[in-house]
Amino acid sequence: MPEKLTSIFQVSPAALKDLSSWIERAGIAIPVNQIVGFSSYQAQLSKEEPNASTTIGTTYQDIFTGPKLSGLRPGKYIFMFGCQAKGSNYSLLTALSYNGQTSTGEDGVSVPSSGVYLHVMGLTLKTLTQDENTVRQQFRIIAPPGTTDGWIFLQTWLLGFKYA
Amino acid sequence: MPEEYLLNSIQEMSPEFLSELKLWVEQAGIAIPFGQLVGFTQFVVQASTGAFGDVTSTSYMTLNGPSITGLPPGKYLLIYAMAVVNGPSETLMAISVNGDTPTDADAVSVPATGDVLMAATIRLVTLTGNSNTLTGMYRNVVSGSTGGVGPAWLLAVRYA
Repeated sequence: MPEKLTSIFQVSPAALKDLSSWIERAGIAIPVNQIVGFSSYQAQLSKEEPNASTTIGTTYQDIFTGPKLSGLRPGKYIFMFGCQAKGSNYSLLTALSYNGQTSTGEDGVSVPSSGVYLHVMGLTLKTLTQDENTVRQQFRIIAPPGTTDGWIFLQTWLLGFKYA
Repeated sequence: MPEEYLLNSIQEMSPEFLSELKLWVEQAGIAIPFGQLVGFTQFVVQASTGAFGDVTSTSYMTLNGPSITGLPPGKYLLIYAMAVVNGPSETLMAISVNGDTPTDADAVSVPATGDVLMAATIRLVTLTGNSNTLTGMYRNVVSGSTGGVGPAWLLAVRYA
């Protein structure tokens, strides 16, 4: 036996096979953060209960202080978002804004102007690529350009679920 | 090399050997049982549908579900929804955890519009007991009439 094993070729294939079997059976505790390519599932929720009226225009805008998720790591996400709101004149759209960009509305859901509080929910899949990301819920009405309308929001919420 | 040798210390393996052993472990395709991964809770999804009943109270009451029992501890994403027809003015659905009374802040609401409306919402909960139960509960906001709840469903996703 040399003083030190200096090459894996000093271990026979049979010994390596035994070593492989031993690793499989030894019940070695492997922290999940050592698994390459896997990021554990994470859920973050931002929820507001403004119970207040605000004026909405025909381009996507922020309202109140959120809901907003900041500091999101890059990865693949399911975003679920919703609101409970009431309006009487024009239908409302809600969609998500990523990293400060005005929402494109591609993931939007609508709330009809029924005069009663309606609860809506939407979801979308999104891959975030920046080191830190911000996602915020935005709103607009469906009306001729320049129109504004008052909507009352009981609650708004945004959930980010990181799955990869 | 003697026929029998006992390796007494990792120091008897050179850094070069250990580096090669590391590469071998990474490339050998060793089958690691899932249960050996410390800190990972297997992603589990369970669902239940139910309801189809009349809500007759302004306090939270149960109907015919949805209900999920035997849930192990962990962090859960709950997604739940209900459809209401002929509501008295507004009907709420929320989720009771292990028999507690839910709060309106976690409820999904459907108003009485004359149409059948379905609405959904979400909630994050951490369950700590060994066996947990989630149950849909309902209430009317205004007393004096009956809210007819159609189908309702609950999805529980354990993510940690």
